[in-house]
Amino acid sequence: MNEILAATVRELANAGWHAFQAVNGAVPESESLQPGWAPGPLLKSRERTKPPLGWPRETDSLCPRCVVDTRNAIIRGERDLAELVNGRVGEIKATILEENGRVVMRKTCPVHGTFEDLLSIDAEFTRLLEARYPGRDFRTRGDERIHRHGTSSIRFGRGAVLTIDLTNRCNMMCNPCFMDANQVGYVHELTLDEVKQILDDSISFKPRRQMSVQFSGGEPTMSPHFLEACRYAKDLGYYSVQAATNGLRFALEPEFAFQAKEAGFDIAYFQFDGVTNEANRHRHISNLYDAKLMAIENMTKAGIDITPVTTVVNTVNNTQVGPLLNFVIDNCESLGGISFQPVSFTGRDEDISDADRHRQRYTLSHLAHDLAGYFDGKIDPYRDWYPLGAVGGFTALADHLRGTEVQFGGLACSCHPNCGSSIFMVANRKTKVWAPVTQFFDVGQFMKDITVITDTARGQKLSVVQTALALLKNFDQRKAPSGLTLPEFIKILNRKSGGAMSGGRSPKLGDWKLMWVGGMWFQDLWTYDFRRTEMCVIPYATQEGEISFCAYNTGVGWRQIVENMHMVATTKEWFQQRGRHKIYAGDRPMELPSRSLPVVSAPAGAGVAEHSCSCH
Amino acid sequence: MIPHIEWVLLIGYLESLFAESSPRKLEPRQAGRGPETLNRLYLHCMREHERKAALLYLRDGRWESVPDWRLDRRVIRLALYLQERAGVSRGDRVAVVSELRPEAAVADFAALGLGAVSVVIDAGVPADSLVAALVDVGPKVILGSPAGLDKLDGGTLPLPGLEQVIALDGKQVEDTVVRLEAALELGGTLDTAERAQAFRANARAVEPGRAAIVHYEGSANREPQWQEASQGEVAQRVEAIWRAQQPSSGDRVYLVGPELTLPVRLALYAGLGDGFSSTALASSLGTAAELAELGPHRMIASPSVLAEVVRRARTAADAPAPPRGWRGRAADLFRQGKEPAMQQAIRGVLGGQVRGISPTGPLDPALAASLEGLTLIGPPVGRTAHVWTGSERGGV
Repeated sequence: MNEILAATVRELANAGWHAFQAVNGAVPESESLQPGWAPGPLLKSRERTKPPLGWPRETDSLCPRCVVDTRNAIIRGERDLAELVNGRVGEIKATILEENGRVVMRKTCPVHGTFEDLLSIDAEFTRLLEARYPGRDFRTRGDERIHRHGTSSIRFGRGAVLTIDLTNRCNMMCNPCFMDANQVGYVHELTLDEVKQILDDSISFKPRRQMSVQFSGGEPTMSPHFLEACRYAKDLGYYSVQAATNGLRFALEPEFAFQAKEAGFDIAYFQFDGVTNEANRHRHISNLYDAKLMAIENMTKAGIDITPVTTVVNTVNNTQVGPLLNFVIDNCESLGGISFQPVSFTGRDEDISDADRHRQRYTLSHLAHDLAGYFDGKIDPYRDWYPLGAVGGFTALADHLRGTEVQFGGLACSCHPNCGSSIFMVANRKTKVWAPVTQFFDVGQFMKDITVITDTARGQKLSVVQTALALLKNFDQRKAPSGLTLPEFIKILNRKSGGAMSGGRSPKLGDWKLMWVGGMWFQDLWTYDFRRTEMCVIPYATQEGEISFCAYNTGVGWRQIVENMHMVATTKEWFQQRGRHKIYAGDRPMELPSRSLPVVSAPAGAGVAEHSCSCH
Repeated sequence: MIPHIEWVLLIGYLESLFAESSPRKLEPRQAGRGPETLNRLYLHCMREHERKAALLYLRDGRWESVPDWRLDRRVIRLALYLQERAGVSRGDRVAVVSELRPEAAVADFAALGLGAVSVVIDAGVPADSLVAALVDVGPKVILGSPAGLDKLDGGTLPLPGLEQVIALDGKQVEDTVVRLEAALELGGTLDTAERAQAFRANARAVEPGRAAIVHYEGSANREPQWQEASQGEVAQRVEAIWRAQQPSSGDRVYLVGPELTLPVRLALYAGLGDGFSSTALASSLGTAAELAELGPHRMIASPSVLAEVVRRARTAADAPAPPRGWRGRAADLFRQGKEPAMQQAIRGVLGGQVRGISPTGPLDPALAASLEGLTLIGPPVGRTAHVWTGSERGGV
């Protein structure tokens, strides 16, 4: 009966939509709004630009050998930094082409010869991702002081995640580590004043959009300013503060989790490589998985959302992607999704041999097929995966609905479709029943509908009516997992959007939960593409401005240059002056605290709670 | 199911009614159920609390807040600094020479957490008495406010065991003195999970019978007079204050100095330790604007400050009432039926929400009569329980 009712509603909504559009299409488009945060009127779909896509195509890349030589010469003081900014150090042309159903990048350096690497094992999968890309955000304006990194400069959009390395110190010794933490011989650590300046700078140009401020490192919780930095980002108006963390601090010090939450910390972007201690052995702590579980427990108690992050290396832990997603679904009451990061050979790994690199290379297409295989096709590589930039379509709608009187635009993740892709899933916290949203909701059609709404740019009420019709007509109750109704689906969308449909008041967490499964593929010197760099959505905010994630960690290697310019001490000096910190390594177990450490020893029967913090 | 804007918004609205916005409430603090030591009281309230600010203080005429996480981190960092750089350990004496201010509280809890004896001397003590008191105590570290350190000749004192002098306010200090901010900066680097937990474990392990606080009470025949209390005794006194004051959720406690007396110190432990209250530290009775912004629910002050409250209330009561609308007049009528005009005036002077006042010492009968009915939250804080005197214990 419910299915019949739902089908009727769907058909009525469909008819309503078409009737509405019959009139809407006959009326000239309204002008777009121009909010104060934007450099111009909100973009209509035809005004959004796209990078060159498809193949074969030529792009600008880097010679993996020339770049390293030049970077080292700059650090040694033999060449000037200005060469990096004004010149085209190590740049060569590259061709992206399809061969035997795969996509590869090939490039030739006149000095060092030809380099080739794999971009995709499935050309059709990659073509679909590119086809689903809705286009770039605004060109940046007023950012000359922030984006000043020559051909590596970011030119489009505001980004989605503002990464700030608080320190290069770490309490682990991993392999791989894209920043060579604890190994570079110096300490680079921001002062609180520097953190504040960087955050102030981040809202100094347009478009001024919401971002998730992500403190990183090294291990960001090693910084003495971690808590204050979280608070300052919140005070500035950012609604989401996260940290890329190994979680050891939260495992070892439960109080820290509560304090971090109180200070404004929302999300742990949580290093998590496998669901056994054995699967984490490359991190060189023999009981690391046990420590991770303890960190999850403590952060969950404190109300911190957790997104596990897994660096996937072919032949090392690629078999873990399925079990990891299973683990996330099984623990969906604590975990909000998972981010897989196909390996990027940077830092210590730039010296990798060609044979090892080819063997260990892992791409977004590997991920899509590995998950499809593990879940017997329940996750469909061609139906379920969308580029991260697809979120830009939803942001356009939110920006249109929120009007002009807002301080920040919505978070826009409009990165290059080769940079990342994701699936949205729903999962039931009690029964653990789950399904990709695309199984029962026509996301492709919904995005087209959104484009109509934002392009015609009618008033807020008419736009909301259209949005409601679009939601109804694209939801197919028959294909939804058992128990998930349209109101329930809207409820979880509303909750995920922070209560956008209810004036910012987040609805109560119900049985169903929206989950994100993402793949973020960072570049390395063999896959580098400047068209991706210039529209990066994960800028590193540094003392030298904001730099694309890949230009910072790989590419010409701005990280090493910036850190050398602003190092505060050699590691030896630091240890002498400020004491050593503990580093967990050497394949030994770490000592974990008792799970029920008493804070208060109350008289028998006194009933003083030991663990139930009520402040959150 | 009607597909229009109201329908979508209605769902959101109905759901928001059930939003997880109200945190689980703490159990009210009751006598006999509290932690056994002052250190455990501190650790407990840092972990379990229901407030946005642990402490409040005035800066440029506005109330600034110190949330629990910030206070706790500063305490841990200072303690780690004291331990690593000054060698402070269990049983050592740490002197805090200061008026009532947040930094003094940080210093106090840091010393106590290390198992040291925290000796507090109000910065208003005359210079010769202060030096004599410090010589008598023999501290390993002195933490002083500018008013205190000015009397100590730049920290160069004839104290053989003195390792360091730390300035609580580092705007102008001698080279021989370490600024608190510098100590906290280094302490921040030392503040790892392992060290922080070791600090907590050490603090938790300090026994109830171990000497905790010592307070300078003046001098007699040029001999410093002290009061001291063990970890357990302080915890019992805090419970007595809770029993008298009945703290409840959302309370703002107004603690007025500037003198950092023993009753003020105990009231600070009680306010911080209950997990509900935000404790505002003031060097003097605030202006009407400051009090209106704070809106305290409980007040702890010396008899002289309370006399000033009554004087202001009398002035306000004598002043002709400003013209008011019918709503205001009706509200006045309602209130007048419940409460004498003087008490209304006192409440008005203190921001309108105060429900109890505790003096830090015996009140003059006339003053007590003026306050009666409004306040009466127990005997003076300083007399909520017995404190062993120095002479009873054989001196410090």
